[in-house]
Amino acid sequence: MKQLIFISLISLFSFQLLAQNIQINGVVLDDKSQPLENVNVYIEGTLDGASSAKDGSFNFDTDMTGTVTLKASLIGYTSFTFTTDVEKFKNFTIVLTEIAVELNEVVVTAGNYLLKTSSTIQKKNAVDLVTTAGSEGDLYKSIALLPGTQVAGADGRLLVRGGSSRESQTYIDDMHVLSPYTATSDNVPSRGRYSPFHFDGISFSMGGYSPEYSQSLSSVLPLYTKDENPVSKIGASIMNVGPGGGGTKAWEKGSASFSFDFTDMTLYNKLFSPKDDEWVKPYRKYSGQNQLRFTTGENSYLKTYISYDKTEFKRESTSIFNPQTLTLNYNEDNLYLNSTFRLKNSNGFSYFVGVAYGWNKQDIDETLAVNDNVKMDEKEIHVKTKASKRFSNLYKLEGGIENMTRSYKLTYRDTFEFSGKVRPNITGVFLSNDFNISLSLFLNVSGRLEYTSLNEKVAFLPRVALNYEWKGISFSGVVGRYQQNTENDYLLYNSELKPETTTQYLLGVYYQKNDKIYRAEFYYKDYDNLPLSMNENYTSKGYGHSRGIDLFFNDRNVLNRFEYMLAYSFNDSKRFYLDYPVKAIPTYITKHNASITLKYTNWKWKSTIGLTNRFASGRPYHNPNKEGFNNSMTPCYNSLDFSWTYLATPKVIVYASASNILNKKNIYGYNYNSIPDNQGIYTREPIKLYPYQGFYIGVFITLGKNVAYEATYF
Amino acid sequence: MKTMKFYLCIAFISIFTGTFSTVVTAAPDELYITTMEKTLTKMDNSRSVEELLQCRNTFERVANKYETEWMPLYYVAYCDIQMVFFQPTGEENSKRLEDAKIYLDKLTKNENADKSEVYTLWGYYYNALIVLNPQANGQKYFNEVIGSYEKALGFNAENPRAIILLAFFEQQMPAFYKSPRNAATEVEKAKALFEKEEKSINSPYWGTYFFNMIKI
Repeated sequence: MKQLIFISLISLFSFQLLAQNIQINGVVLDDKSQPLENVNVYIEGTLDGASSAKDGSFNFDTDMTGTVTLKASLIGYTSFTFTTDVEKFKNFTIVLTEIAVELNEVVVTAGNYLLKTSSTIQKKNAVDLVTTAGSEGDLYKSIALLPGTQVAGADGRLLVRGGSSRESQTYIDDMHVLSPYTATSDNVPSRGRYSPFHFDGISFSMGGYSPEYSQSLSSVLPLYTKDENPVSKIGASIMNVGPGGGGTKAWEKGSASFSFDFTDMTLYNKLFSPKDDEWVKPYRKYSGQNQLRFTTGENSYLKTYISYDKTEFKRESTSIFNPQTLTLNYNEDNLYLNSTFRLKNSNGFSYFVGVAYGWNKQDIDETLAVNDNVKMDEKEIHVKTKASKRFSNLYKLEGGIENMTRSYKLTYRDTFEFSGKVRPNITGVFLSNDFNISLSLFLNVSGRLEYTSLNEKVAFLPRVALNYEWKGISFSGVVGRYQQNTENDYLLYNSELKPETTTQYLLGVYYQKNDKIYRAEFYYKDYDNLPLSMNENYTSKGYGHSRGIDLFFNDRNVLNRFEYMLAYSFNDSKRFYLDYPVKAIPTYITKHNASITLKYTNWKWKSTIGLTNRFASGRPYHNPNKEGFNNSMTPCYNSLDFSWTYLATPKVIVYASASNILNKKNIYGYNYNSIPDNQGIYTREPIKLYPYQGFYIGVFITLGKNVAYEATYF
Repeated sequence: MKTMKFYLCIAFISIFTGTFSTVVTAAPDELYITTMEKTLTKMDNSRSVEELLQCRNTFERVANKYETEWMPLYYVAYCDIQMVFFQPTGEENSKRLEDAKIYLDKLTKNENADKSEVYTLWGYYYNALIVLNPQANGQKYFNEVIGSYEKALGFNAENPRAIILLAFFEQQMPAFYKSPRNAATEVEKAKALFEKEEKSINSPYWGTYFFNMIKI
């Protein structure tokens, strides 16, 4: 009994000893020494805590003894944690720093547009992109409405800030895409191979991009697929150019999506193509995509994306210079697959590993002469790994290593045979340092070391970006150096050509309030090591420059239902390259580019109606009947485009678009006969689109238990 | 001496267990029950963002201590969302919803959580995103709102919150978006189900005030 009483006493005593209350008190301030209210201050692992008062003061009792951890948190501020003896938390001052979300992630830097992001707050629907008139449901065409981009040439590819179309690169889940455009015949604009609806995040950088992205001199388009797709659905589409279908099957820890499309231009050509346009076998494309997504842990994802398409057509073409009719017989196979793994662990480290394989094979008859044949086979294996960690609110480090192994083989057979092959190998190491110096000042210092097997040289490519915010206005400046291997067709002549380089200087100012965005950017690009034809071979002695200004204004809420966007770009470019005898404006350049985009949504009509007008000044071309080089200009370009999206039922969406509704006869340049006629004049024929206009209509049906108004089943 | 050793051992165990119980993740105990009860009462009587924020902070402390419990996580997210409805033009609303999403993500991964209640709260969260910017977000998120409530009903067709919130949301939408569901029938169904509910710290019970907001 005595023992029991004694035990009870000891136990009570021991609890009493521990239960002696200690008062914790102090004040919470922000980094400008202003008091912070409603901060949750507490001892970790206990309920002992309080919310700070209006004057920032807090006090509460605890029965804890010894070493404890005090935590303080407030939405929008970095958490505070401090471990010491509990007795020391008296008259304690806590300072919280506001989380600089925009600076941490640097959404706005010179040259960058965040078009669609996975962040729910800033999410932009893919429908936003494709319902813009002039986009024709195509990713690249919708991007081409932004300032800094030029009106595309007859091939329909992106032209950014004075760069040629091959200077723009596309990435899927940070892995390089070898061949992002569909194959086309002459004077028929190509489209992106990948539907914007396959991606959860779309951003576009037209300069000053991270050193993670190499082999690009003008712009990068990183596309990100969904990590998770939890809704099972199935769907089909019927378009005037062919049918499509697909679906997604979701399970607890992953999902699988597939889609297939068949494009057949038979009907379209009959309705819209000019009568003199002879399609022996109309354009046909069979394509399929598949993605597997696995959630392998709390913050880790394994994804595989596969896309294959086969294109074929046969088209007769005649030229005023050539009495013979050529029957172009085109066959293309394109495969792209990537597999990526991402992990963010509890200590804040993010890891990424990816591998991608791209293959493009073309077999073409009668490209230049009767009975000739071209065979092209291009492959790329891209391997990349990277890691990043934010060590504090002030500093983030990211670094990685990658390798691109490429091969390109071309064979041309006519009365003679030419065959060539190049196998460039590129290895790069990149490092990026983010410094959030203050809430309003951000600095990025980064660099890349890149080895190219062709000339066995290592290049250092540095980049510095500074971003400053003042009263809601952001100022941004970037200086960076980038390089890209010379185009394969020139490397076949001289495999030791140096990589082309550019040094970019960007300066921008941005202001965003409510639904209005204002942007102005100046840029200067200095090109070097461009291929230059000398003594019947190519050297790397070409050079050039591109400079200009881009202006952008977007109002997403005018008169409640209207949205409009104004964009203007001025570009001044000259190059001494290829077979140019002097430094001249390249033929793809349009000096003035402007677009106005209107969008009207009316719920009563279940419709979104878009109207876009695109204008560009003429392109230079070389007229051999005149003195000088690239001595003439084509007429100005203008195209008025229309689109209509109709939500017929929650499961059915109808989309229709028409480009160049005023039927302007836009001319992209001229082809001249190489031999003058009897009067000594070189005759010519215009380069123009066949047909001048484009019409598209599609009905999209998506079925699923919790699915409504979704234009995608992927 | 033997007895002395025994006493010392007991004393040591008593001290150790007394200390230990306060630092490890705890199972629900009296402290959990009283804190939850007190805070829920306070939350039910909250009429301002400040009062809600204080409740949210307490739920956050409870969530940190009782890591396996889903109700504290649920109420942190609920308070974050409710603050947006209390103050639709609040400058902090975006950050509140970012925080709500963090807790909703944790809640979704909590194996003890009632999935029907979790998806109801997801629907409420997307609805709050629309409140944040109806013009820009209405078109983007209405499908997520409806989808989440329907998913909640898929897990439990008799969840009165999912029923009333879905009826309320559909009432705000243009005519052609509305489902064949009859609002009056849904309200009656929800009323009957709410009547069966009692205030509890183990499952949500909020939502009856939506009856006053639905016009039939």
